[in-house]
Amino acid sequence: MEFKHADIKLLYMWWTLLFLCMLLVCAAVSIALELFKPPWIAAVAACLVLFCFIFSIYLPKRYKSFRYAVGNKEVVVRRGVFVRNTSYLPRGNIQLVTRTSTFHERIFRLSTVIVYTAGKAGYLPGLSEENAEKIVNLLSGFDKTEDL
Amino acid sequence: MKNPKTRDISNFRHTHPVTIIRNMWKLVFALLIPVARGLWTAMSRESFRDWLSTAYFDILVLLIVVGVACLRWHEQLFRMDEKGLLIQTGLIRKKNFFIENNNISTLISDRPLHLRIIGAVRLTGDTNAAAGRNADFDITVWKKDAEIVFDKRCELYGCEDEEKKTYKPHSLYLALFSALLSNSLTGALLISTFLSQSGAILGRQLEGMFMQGLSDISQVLAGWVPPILTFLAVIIVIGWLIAFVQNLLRYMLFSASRIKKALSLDLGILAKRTYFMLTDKINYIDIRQGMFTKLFRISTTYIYCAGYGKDGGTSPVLIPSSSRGETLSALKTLCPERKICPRKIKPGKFRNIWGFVWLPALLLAGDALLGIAMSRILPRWGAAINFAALMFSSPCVWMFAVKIMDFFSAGVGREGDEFTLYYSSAFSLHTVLIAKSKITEIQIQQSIFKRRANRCKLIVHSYSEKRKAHTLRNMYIPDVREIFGLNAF
Repeated sequence: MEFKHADIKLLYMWWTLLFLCMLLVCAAVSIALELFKPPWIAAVAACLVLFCFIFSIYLPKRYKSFRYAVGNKEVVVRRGVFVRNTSYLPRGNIQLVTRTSTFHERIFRLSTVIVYTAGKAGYLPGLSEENAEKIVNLLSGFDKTEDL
Repeated sequence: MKNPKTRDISNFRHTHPVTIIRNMWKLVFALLIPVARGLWTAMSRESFRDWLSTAYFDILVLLIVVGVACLRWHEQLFRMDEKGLLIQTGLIRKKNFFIENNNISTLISDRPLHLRIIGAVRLTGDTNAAAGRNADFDITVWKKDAEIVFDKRCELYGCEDEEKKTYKPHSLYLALFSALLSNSLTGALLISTFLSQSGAILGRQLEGMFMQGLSDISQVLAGWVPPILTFLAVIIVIGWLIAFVQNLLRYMLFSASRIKKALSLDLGILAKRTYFMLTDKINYIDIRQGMFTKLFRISTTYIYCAGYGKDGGTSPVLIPSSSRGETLSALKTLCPERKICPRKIKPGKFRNIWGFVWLPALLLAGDALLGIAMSRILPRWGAAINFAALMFSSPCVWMFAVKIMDFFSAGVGREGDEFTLYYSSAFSLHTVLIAKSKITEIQIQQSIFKRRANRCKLIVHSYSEKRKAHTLRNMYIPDVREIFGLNAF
């Protein structure tokens, strides 16, 4: 069973979303500076430190920690930076497999595959469209290859 | 039971006419307007003719509601054959609802007193498909038709092929189970509902008499304890007693029978219920113990199968409180395919105990610190604050004791494709017997504090209509992978 990372475009998508969020934070900070006159250097420095931490440490770590594998017995998904979660979904109990794309995922041509078992669902985000299609076909039984 | 071959319901049949009232019940809001207007007219002392001239439209609405309910009953048909159960409903939009026999996990026959008088039985059934809090189908049929449905299922799942093995618990154990299950809040809610309903019908005298009685009792009992606390204690005791009687009536005459591929459970005195469960649809069995029941080696066994324990207030019990020996022998009779496997993986050395007791320990420390701080800030309220802190600390101490017991008993056992999970949640210790095929996800959760020791929180998700997880703390990751046969990263 080969363990794979998500598409690198997932990290680019997170960075883009972070920039958009930072724009909103900057707007909020500038309004706060205007209205409440807080010590502006501290506020800007806190925002900057937070941004640098998320941009250079948290998001790359999050991307790196996310791995998945589709084996002949189970689907394995690992994720998490501070708390690492490894989920093993037995293939025999998979009830439904769906593929979804949110608005920002569509911009980066990415998809999320959702694997439903009875009472639980496993998420495989940041997959290229071809790869997502391949996994859906494999888990739905259309593709007879056992491993991905 | 009569021979099912002599009777047949493979042709469509009507449900019981009591369904008309059930159908009308849904439209009862439409009846409120005519009733309110009729009352208003009667109060204004107008003649019958005048009343009729104003209320004719309301009477028409009433007739339409009754007519629609009758028509809906007439159009509700059902039949059952070797393939499954077909229910046809709908007046304007016809709906055919078919469930294959093999997919009905639990078939329930509910016979409360008011339905028994008119020869009706409420038949409900559930499948593994998620349907929220409601049963997948719910019909009220004639008693003889319900008997045929149960006979058919018996015939299909080997009732006649093998001898029926029955387990009947001792009455003392049933009383103990009802006592353990009784919740003061349920009883208190029942009292308040009863008082508000009787108040609406008989006036406020009954409510006043009850409250006066309570206040008299609390005054008699009040010694060094403040009267308000005595009053609360009396409410709790009465609530618990009412819940106890309610549970006793619900579980009295409990018996469980094993036939070839199914389990049949009968319970209740006033409201009689029969549950017919397919053994291959049983998700897991949970042997539960509290702190005191563990000390006295008594346990209660629950069975989880879609449909059982879903209806209001019923717990999915298989073996009400019993000794260890009796539990094992009853399990062997009722579910021989589930085995209690000895622990193969454990939480490890004593230094790992913090992973189990941290929550009650922190709660206890927080309670003590808060108590001291508050009594220094508000010295006049010192006695009340100390009392509240003491009251809060007792469940924490209880949980602390349960978690220590959990540390010494937690783990996973395996024999072939059968797993046994030993863990605790809140105040209960669980022994879960689950087959490999019923595990839908195994989750290994590791925080940064556990990385050095390579230990994890193991979460086993089981097959069910909704999310159900069994959480085991402080397990060694290589052991977990080995016992569940998982690939390493």
